[in-house]
Amino acid sequence: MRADLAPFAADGLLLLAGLGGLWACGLVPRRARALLPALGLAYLVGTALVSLALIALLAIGVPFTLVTFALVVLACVAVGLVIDRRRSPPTASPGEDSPPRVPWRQLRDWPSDRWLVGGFVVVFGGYAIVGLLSAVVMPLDQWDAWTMWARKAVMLTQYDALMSGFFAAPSYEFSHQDYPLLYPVWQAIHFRAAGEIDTQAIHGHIWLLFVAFVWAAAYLVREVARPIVWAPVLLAVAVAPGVWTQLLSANADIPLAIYGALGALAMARWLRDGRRADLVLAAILLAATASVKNEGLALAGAILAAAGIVVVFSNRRALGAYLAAAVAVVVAILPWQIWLAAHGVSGDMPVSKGLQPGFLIDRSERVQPAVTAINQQLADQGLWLYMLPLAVLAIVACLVAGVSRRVAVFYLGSGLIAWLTLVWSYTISPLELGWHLSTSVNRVVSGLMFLCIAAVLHLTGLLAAAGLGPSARSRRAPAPGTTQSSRAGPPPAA
Amino acid sequence: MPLLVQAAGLLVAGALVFLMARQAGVPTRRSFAAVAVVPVAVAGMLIAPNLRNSVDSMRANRAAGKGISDEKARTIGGTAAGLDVEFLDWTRERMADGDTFHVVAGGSQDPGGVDQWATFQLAPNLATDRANADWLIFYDHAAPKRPTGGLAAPIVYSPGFEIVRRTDAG
Repeated sequence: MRADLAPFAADGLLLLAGLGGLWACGLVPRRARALLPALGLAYLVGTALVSLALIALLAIGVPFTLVTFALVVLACVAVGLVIDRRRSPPTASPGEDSPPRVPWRQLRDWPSDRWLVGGFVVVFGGYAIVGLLSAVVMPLDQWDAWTMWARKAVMLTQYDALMSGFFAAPSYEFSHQDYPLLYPVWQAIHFRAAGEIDTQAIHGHIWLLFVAFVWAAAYLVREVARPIVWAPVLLAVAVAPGVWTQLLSANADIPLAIYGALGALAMARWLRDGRRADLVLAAILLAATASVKNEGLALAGAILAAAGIVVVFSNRRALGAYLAAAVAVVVAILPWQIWLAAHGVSGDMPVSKGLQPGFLIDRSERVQPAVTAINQQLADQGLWLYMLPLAVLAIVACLVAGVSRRVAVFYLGSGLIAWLTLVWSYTISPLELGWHLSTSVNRVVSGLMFLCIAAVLHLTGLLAAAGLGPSARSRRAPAPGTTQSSRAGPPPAA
Repeated sequence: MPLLVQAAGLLVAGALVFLMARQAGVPTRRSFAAVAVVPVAVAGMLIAPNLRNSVDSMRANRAAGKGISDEKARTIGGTAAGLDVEFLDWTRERMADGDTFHVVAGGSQDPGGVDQWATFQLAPNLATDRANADWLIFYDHAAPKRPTGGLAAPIVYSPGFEIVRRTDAG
């Protein structure tokens, strides 16, 4: 019983911690009606905050136990409540104080957007249940999934510290000891809660990460995109074979991509609307992206770099806030990097050499095969359902039409920089190129592909809103936290 | 090249939608907004077939996964790699908590692959270098026949699959 249910209770605690984070940001008001749509984002933010905190605590020698986990959750909730209470007293939304209405009358009054959301919930909900039932019995048979990720999670379950006999020992160099620990820590939370290491059941919780992503993405674009736009795109993403098959392989690439895409969405919201809460959310999600895997570090860097370029060229007054967010991301990943440096652990990628022109020229023959292999994967529409070409269309349409050009340039820049970092990493890699490409390229394009998904969702919504009017929600009222004092970025784009 | 063709195709589709809207007398800004129809339509068309295929695959995965015992699930990574997971279980039964080990692999298997799986299956016991390991695990590799250099006589699981304990181990 404990083995089956306790890990889901741990998910519930992660969700609570995330709600604390969202309250602290001022992104979600403490009202029952406002909470339900935000639960997906809350789960992912909770996973990010709690795992980052546990990594920092592990790095300074605090034991990783269920008690530590519970205390971190408690701290997140308490901080969120205190900050939210100081900001403003909770207010009831219009209609909350009125007596409940007869359900069938409510249904009769539902606008078309709400019917669409209802239809989406039914279809995606059914699909999510089928996926969950399949996931909980999936065997852990993918090489990287057990040798890199589950192995570290098992060690973090069996031992409550970063044992140098494992995390810094030459005997375990093959397990990429330099990779960040967010994903193993998250898995270990579930193993510890279960009281056993069940490598099949963990797939069910990995599936929940994806369900939360779809939920969170709809939540983040709801102000600019009507359900007629986001519902078909998110359903297509949910059933795309490249997404769910990779997710259930239990590798870290889709979790990384999930955080990267939502981080990009939050950053794009800040670039467009200038709400500080979005920038804080972006920093949390990008810190998580960089803490899943080294490729996530590159993806988060690409997103931050593109945002920095947009800020420098469009509104330098926002540079201070942007730099503060960038520093926060760096600070969040520092504890693990310091632990690695203190224990003499380094990765196999010659990063500093890879910035030297001579080294790059010597390895220039690797560029063309890498570009070909990456682009072949990106063009496999049987896996990715045209998300990249659709992103190109949305970006070009926004640029030509003059709709949210700043946001379009941001997504274009993020995608290009992310693509270049992929080519660069294959160019400087010490591994034999053919083997390296054949064993990884289908996975590592996930981050870039999820950036495309974010671009399609956000820009298509903005494009449609420019001509047809924004969603009912954004017409009705400003979003939570949209006060003059909370603005810390560029004004709305032209 | 396929990627360029795909992107160009969708850009042309977007341009056609824009031109059709303009020809119908729709103002320019709203005509640009009409381009949003393309992603929505493409995504909408792809949902039904992929939903059916994905659900079918997931149901098949569940049927296959349900038939896997806990015991088999625990070692399926090694089995998939063609390794003798029973030998490693047998080995683990002979190791005490906290004992360290070192894998010496031979035969046709990739030694690195054997080492990776063995260290996973034998966790939480830790691997270490040969000189300091409490146990040497000979995987498809002959062990020294007689006790030498601080090593006890090998305990044989099957020929070539043997373990040797250090006599000076704690």
